[in-house]
Amino acid sequence: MNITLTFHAHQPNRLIPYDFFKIGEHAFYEDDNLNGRVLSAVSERCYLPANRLMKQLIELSDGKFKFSLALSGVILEQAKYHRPDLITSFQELAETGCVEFLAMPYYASLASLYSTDEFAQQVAEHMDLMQELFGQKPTVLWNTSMLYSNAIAAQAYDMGFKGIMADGNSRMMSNRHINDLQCAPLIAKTKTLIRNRHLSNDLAHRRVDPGWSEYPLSPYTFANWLTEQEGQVVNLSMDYETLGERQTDSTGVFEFWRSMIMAALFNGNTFITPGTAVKRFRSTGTLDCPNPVSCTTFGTTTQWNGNVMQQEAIKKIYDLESAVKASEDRDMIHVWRKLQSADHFHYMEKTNGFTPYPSPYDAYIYYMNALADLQVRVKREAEMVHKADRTNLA
Amino acid sequence: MRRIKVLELGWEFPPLINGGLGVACMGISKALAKKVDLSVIVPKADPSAVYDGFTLTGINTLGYAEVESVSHGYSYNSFSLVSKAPVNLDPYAHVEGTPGSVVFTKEGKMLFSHVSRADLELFTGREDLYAGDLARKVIEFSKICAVLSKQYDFDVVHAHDWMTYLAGVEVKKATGKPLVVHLHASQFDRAGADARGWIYDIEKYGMEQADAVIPVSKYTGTVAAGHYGINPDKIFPVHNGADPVKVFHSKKKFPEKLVLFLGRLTAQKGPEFFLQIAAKVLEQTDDVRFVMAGTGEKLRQLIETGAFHGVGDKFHFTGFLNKQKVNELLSMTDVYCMPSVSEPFGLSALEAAQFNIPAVISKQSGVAEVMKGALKADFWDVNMMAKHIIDLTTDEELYKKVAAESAQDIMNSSWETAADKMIRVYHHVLGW
Repeated sequence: MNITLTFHAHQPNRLIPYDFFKIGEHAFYEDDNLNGRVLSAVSERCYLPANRLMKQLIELSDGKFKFSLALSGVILEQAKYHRPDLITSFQELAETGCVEFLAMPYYASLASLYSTDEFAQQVAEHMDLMQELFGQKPTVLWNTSMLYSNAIAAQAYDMGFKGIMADGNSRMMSNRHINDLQCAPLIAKTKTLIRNRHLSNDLAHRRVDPGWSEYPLSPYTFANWLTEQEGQVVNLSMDYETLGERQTDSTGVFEFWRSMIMAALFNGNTFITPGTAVKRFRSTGTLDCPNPVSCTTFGTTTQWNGNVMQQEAIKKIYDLESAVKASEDRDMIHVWRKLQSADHFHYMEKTNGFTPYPSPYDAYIYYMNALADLQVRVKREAEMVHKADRTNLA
Repeated sequence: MRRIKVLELGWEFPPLINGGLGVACMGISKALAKKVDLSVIVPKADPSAVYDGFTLTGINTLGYAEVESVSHGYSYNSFSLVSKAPVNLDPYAHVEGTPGSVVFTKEGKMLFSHVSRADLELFTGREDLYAGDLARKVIEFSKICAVLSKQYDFDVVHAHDWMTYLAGVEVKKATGKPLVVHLHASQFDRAGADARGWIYDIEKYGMEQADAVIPVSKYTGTVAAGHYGINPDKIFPVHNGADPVKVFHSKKKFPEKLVLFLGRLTAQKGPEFFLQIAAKVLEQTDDVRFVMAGTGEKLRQLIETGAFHGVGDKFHFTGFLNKQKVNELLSMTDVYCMPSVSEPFGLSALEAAQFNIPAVISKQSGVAEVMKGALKADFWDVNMMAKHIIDLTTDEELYKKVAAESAQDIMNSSWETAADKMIRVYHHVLGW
């Protein structure tokens, strides 16, 4: 069986408790200290040891083991400031020639749902970064949380991608075709790779769930499951934080992965990258997905835009688009884009327990205050430009 | 004519306060002390605080022996039948809903004249005055006051708000001195026109037993007469004063005008109306920001309603602010808005006026009687309120006029004026 394996890594830019009194005065919204500390801790527990393991597997298998990485621009930017060694570590992986870097919206945003222009620009910015850091030009798009719809697939085609990844979501398709490449309606040249949600979640969640019938999962059992799959290619994808962070070292997660990958290779399976998969295989059919689906728990977008606070925050940040861009102020545009990261809206979800804020209401208040500050800045800049124009004319 | 001797019964007293009641009691005491001989009893006093011109006794500072020594001289058992009264009556935490009812025992009579050690300990602990079994605290406070009053030489007893009304009535019955009750806020304000229950009963009982009732405004006087059936002939409204505050002005960090709401986020204060007013104003201009300072049980609901109206980038919640932050906020505010559903007085509007801020206030407030220049509307008339705010933020002439009139209104609102009026009430009840 052909297997693609994609890890996604991202760290949010958590905001400081940005209160009303800071509006108009305090232009830095992020809790740099906290973000740096979290990145550092997760690097030690997860990213660095996982990178070492992956590199080892590539060497052990003489390059037969291949995988791909979808790294957000945000995490790489954080790493530039706080953990440059993390970037070096990823670059070492790139040098093996066995790791493919996928394209993402740089800011792990929801731009694909709210602004096609902005989405294209963020993806382009990310492609530039991949070129700069890893010398690669991605051919496959991995949207934020694998957000996917007919429209998004069509845009991926417009942007020239050969492939786009989507979640094998039961809302969208039956499990029958999950291991086959498909295409969105009226799209021929951009193939859709479908994540095998079930097998991916076995690794990402159920492996450490004592209530699961297969617990404790043996790496050899899982390798056999992979071998028994039918279709063109089985696509595994999950957060990189699964290795060492969500599943700590003490659960034996690194050992499990080492044995599982080696066993899968031993069984005669082939690891390929998504870029190779879309080149090698034909599309087997049309996949109609009118509404956006994602790889989140419910497969929908509700964790970002399900309540009124989220809806308002999203509307207000995208309302700023034309004014921010008209400023041509690169710093301001960058700040605005960082506020688009989906995390900000997820923190406003009422059932989200995984948050740095005391409550979703606090998340909303800090965000809206920071947004208000940005609005003030945009307005000020526009007035200054206006004044300068008038002086020039006079 | 000799100076009148007054025994004042209070509940909160600075620096140990929860809300506006303590501030008002302090202002009254300071001003009264210049003209009468004043003693104040409160449940809790800061032992280190010293007050000029009057003595403040906190029951928390009393030793058991001190109470015990006078215990024998008095026995009165009007409340001996109360065995259990409802808990959690904190006026600053619970607004909606009705308090429970009092349970009376059939036989087990407690001897009202006897104060036990445990009773005294109610006030010596670290617990908040409104926490725990508030009803028991109120009853024990009245028992202890009745006993203690035997030690004081006074002509008239003056009780502030329902928590001390029972004590006032007990003191009156124990000593035969006339009782004046001060109505700072009623259950009608806190819980609406249908409010009934234990607190309402105590308020009504206290005002009925009193020789005079001093509401903090004519508006509150009509509540006393209309909702509690108190004889209007013994109601003498006296407006609160405002202590001068150190006024300063600071520059806003943003270009928009700033409209401020300050208060607990409870139905009484009308925060939902403020939100609706903001939404109306923002439909017409984006040159205004709104701040809702304070916290309360409606906070989360208000946040979501604001998001629903789509005003979250112009309507800011600060949560609870300390005095310093409040002043910082006032120093940059352009318009003060108080859309209270029922506001006995509304001192904060006067405080804002000291910062030279024009106010838009509800007609259902006591301060509306004092602030002749302020722009007013019924609390529910969000269109009119919004119009006032837009007028103030766009019409500079009007802004200056309202601010100037407010300055005049403050000059006329001093605690000294208030104290003089209270002394006239004392004279009236004493027949001097």
